[in-house]
Amino acid sequence: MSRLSDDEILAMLAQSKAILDLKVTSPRRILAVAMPECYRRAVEAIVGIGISHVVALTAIDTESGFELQLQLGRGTIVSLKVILPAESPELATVADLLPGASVHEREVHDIMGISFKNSPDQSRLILPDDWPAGVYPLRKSFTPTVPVPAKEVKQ
Amino acid sequence: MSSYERLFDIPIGPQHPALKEPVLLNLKVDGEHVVDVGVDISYNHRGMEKAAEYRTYVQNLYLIERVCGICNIAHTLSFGTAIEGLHGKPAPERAKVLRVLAEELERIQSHLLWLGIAAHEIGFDTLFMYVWLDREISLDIMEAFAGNRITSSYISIGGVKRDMTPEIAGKMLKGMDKLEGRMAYYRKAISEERTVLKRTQGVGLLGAADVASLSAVGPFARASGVAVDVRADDPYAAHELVPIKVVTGDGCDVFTRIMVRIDEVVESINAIRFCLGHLPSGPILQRLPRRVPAGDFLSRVEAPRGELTHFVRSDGSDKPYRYKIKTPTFSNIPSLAKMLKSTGRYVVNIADVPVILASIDPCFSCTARFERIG
Amino acid sequence: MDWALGLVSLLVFPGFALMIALSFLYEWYDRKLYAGIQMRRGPLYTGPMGILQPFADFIKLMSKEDLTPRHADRRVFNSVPVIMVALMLTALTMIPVTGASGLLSFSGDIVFAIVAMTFFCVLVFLAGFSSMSRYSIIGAERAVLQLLGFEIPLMLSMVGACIFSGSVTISGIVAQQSGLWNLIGPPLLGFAIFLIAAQAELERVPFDMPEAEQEIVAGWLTEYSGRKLALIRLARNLELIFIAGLAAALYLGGPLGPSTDALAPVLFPLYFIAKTLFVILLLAFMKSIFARVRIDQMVSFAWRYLIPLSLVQIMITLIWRAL
Repeated sequence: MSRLSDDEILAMLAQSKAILDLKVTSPRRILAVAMPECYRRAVEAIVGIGISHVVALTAIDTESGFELQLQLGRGTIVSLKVILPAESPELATVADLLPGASVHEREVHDIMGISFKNSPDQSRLILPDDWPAGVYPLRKSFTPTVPVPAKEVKQ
Repeated sequence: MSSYERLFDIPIGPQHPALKEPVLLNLKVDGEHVVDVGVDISYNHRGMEKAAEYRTYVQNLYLIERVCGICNIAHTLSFGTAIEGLHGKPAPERAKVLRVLAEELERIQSHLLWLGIAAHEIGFDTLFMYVWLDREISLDIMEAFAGNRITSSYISIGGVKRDMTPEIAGKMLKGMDKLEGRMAYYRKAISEERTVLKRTQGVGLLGAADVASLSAVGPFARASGVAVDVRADDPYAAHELVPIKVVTGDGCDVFTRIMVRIDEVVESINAIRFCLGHLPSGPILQRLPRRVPAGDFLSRVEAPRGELTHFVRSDGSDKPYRYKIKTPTFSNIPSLAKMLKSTGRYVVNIADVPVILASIDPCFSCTARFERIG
Repeated sequence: MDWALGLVSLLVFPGFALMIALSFLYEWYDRKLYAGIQMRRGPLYTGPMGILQPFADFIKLMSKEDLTPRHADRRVFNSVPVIMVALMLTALTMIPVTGASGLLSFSGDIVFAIVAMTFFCVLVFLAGFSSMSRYSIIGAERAVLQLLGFEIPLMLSMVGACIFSGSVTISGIVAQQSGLWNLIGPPLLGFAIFLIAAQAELERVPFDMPEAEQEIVAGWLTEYSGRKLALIRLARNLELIFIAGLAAALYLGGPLGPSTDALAPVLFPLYFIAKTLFVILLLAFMKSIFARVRIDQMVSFAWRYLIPLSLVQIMITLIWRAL
């Protein structure tokens, strides 16, 4: 199977109305931007051209909101970027389109508190059972507590 | 009759002799057959991604290395590539070839470690002992070459830290010849030993369509005929220069995964020989500024266990704004859960569970690395 | 005076004390061999070449905390280890060590030997089932399933030796071999089957499913600790001597060998030890060259190959006798 080149992918994705902005950031890395409402349609467009390998789902707390990047592809990686509001971030799930994305969505839900609508499985994956609800460790507002070595506790 | 009352829960983990790391597989068994399985990976939280945000890039080099002991070179390589990518200054050519060399050497020791564990999981301790004895060859070479058996901090931001000398190259070639002979022996011994075949052939089946749709990676995916290999798909070090054959198999079972990994060790041996013969001259390290230009970079590396992804966002300071690691084991967990369930004619026995689990070469401490560390 | 001599021979030589001492020696020998095949060193520090290691392990276990699970059936759980040791010591009195016959010899003692081995398996099942642990129950279940597979070929292989020697007492079989060993002749096939079945009886790789470490922790042994575990280990070492001794008696001419009347009391026990060590050598090789099979594979292997083969060896023996 011949791999699509960056330019071919760019040309094919440019036809989709769901994708707003499209550019090659470095060799074999393409950044696509979509509105949250159009996220699913944008993913459909990318899957439609045969890119369905889930590399990662990266969530970034930008303090003014959340940025989510769904990174897909074997050779060239298409990163689909979505900006979500800081208050109750929510997005439609793509686990039905990409079965491999389910664990990634659960991870992001655990650590960033972004919920995925209609997700088949939204149970905890990474965090322990006794982790307090509503605390998301990778948000910028979360300050980690440094464990005190046992020796210091004694003194 | 509803068979649910006959089901019996067998917890494998979080502490269990078959496991080297904490994970819980909650098996629902009917006699010896596994009907359902729940995978819980929430036992090991190390908070590495959060910790990375509080450290400078140089400090992070040593933190990232400790995400995984066995694939430490893959992690530092991915980290180094990402930071160099943000600077827009790739490593010098000689360093790139040395990086491939280190990476392939690590693949050899990791695959041998895995082969020993796989043999142990099917109760074949003699093979386990033999393989681990041979693994010492690769670790001795690693020590001479990189300075330490594991976590050697060999790869740095902007290049590598130690240069190759003719003595080390000679030692390496000698070790490679010995290992090549041993791999031919293992290939023959494993494919001829009846009890091993009985325990591995047709066990842990997962077809190519499932593997591709669940985004599985690494030798595990390649053993199902899915030729996914970052070295070929998305070259990151000197892979344009070093020829690497992507090993695939089409058995989709544990036996094929053993064979694919043995063949990959042979491929790595060939790659190391090629690197030693084609080592360009020049510097091995370039100095890069402490502050990293703002931007995003996603770097991918073919770790021994599969595709390893590091994502870094820099805000222009000397600390990353966000550092995200996706390990190969994480991508393979959905496939693992699917493989462990009996469906129709495909039956999973309790006895098969350890070796099916081992067949994805799991590394759970690398996978769950989120919480509770300063 | 006779009763005093009898008591000494029962308790000291060649009775319980010798057997217990041998059980530690054989465990060391087995571990050293297994380690040697795997290119390891094996026990090294306790005594010369680590020879006292099994004894040290025994002492260590004896001094460890002895736990009984809350939900276990206490009476069965606690009595199984003791019964196991008692059973094996009783069975060992049938094994000839100093001459053609053992301490006890009666018509049909070979039947008792078979019963002792089967009963040992029943004890394993009771031990696992009374522990009330998930792993123990699966292990106990596997032990009984395995019994269905290996017991019949084990018995049939012994029947072959009985037919060949024309006797149902162990002493008769041994005495008959004072000329030529049974091994050299049709029971050779029976010897091979006996060794394979014995490997299952002793729960050693490739047939150690009842205590498969990687699958069910320690199987039926999971909940045992301290003194009880020490006794179970002792019983299993005694079982190893019992099976090696039985193999020696049935196929290798027992303790008999070239000697004079004066030297016999010294040489015969030495012959016994040499022959049993040879049997253990074969068992250790078998243990180290295979992977563990699955329980369903083991039972189907036993019924598809072992049982037909053991019937064939009986037929051959019968034809041989008829000629």
